[in-house]
Amino acid sequence: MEPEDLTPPDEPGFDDRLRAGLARPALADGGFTARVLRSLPPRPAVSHYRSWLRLSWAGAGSGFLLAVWACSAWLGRQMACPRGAWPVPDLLGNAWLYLAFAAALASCLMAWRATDPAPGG
Amino acid sequence: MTPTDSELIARALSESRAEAFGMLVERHQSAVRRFLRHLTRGDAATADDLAQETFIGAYRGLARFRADSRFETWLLGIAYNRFRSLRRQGHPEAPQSGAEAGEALEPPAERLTDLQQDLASAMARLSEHEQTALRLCFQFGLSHADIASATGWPLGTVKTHVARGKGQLRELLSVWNPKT
Repeated sequence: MEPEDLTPPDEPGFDDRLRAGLARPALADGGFTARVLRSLPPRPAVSHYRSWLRLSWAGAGSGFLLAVWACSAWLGRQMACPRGAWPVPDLLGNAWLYLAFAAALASCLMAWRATDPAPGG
Repeated sequence: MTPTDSELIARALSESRAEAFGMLVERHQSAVRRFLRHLTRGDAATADDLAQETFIGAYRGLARFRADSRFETWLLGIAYNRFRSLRRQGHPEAPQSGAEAGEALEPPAERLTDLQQDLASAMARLSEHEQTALRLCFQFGLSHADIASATGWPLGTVKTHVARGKGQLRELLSVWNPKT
């Protein structure tokens, strides 16, 4: 609910005198701006660069992961199936495939963390 | 043509960051430093230190500035918060509220007209919050909503401070009013 307006009706004469009485000339800069500019923190790192770097790492990691998965599946299939069969991955039957998958995922995560900015940086 | 605050803020957020921000500091330093001098009872050194912190804070948070109020209102709000933090820390240079709050000093170098001297003496009799509300309203041209946004006070409280402050000033300065 809008609070009750307690302001008395405007008194043009009184309000104008208040404004005139409180008016002060602008303070001269006197080197204040230069002092502020000297103390500004350094320009933050370019975030676009970091974003692209992360995306590149994620893309490379995912590609690597897919390659490991496809190669493992194909090799597994080659060893188990007749020549010429399409290499369909048998994920449930190949525990080592999970290990390769986990290793690829870990490398991807490590690459992602490597591009994280340092605390405060 | 002189760039507007919004244009300078946009520039400060993209290229030529420090240069554009420098123009904003130059433009608003007087209002921020004046307001802080009022809050610190005319202590120019503390006021300028707080003003510097205010602008550094504004620079860091520039991306968070929403154009729903004037840039100067936003800066005065940051300045008021810095002053409050200083006082919370029990800084000896930050005046406490109460009787001494009324003793707002004008820098000795400034020559005041009779009107300004009368008003300064009358203002010194008001509470700290009433003085702050009146100055923000009549010296810095903020609306009641802007004062509420800058100080964090509810709108009704702002209106009360302004109304009470004006009422007391009207009594103290009754010689201004030919009807009384």
